[in-house]
Amino acid sequence: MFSIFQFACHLIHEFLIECVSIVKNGMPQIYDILQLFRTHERHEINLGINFKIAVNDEFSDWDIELNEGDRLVFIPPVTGG
Amino acid sequence: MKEFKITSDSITLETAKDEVENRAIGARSVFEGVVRDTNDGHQVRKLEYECYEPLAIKEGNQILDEAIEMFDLIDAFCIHRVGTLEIGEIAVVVVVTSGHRDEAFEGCRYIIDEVKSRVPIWKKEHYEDGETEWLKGAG
Repeated sequence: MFSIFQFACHLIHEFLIECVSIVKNGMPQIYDILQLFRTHERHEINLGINFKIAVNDEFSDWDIELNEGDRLVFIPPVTGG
Repeated sequence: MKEFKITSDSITLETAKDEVENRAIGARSVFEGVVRDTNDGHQVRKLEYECYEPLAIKEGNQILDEAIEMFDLIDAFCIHRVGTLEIGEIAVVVVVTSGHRDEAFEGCRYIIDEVKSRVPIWKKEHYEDGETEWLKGAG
């Protein structure tokens, strides 16, 4: 098992596929995942500032510890309404 | 009854109005968000909305609770469309009821502002020239 994580929006769907393949070998914490994202600057995303996270469908703090099977979702800035 | 809903069906004002408690009220305020034909200098042909539903429902209901508490509303309801919308279609409706008009106006305004800044919904614009773009939120 590994932590599932994904983006909540097709905006960056391609990026998701790349990241999931790396996470399968372990259970990185959120900051490890962020480190990985910094190498993908073409997406012009500043995850720390612009993004929120949800763990198991609840908004969460960035320093939460992930457990096996947790569902971690990155929430891009919203544009509804 | 207080509820935040996501729907892929057309929204009509009449059915939205029926969703709230309308007995013993003094005021009812309704906001409709409608798909506009231009944005940022582009001619828009249609919009596509998508949503992270489990969290959108929770956050939307949280906003309604806040509004009821802050503005002493009798009831509050909000429904947001997802999927493909043509120009002129209703994207979102907010309905609130209260004893007096001030609370109704303010509560309605609070709900639509918070929904736009907090609920995980995203829009993609389809332009007349065939291009498409997911809008970038302010964060």
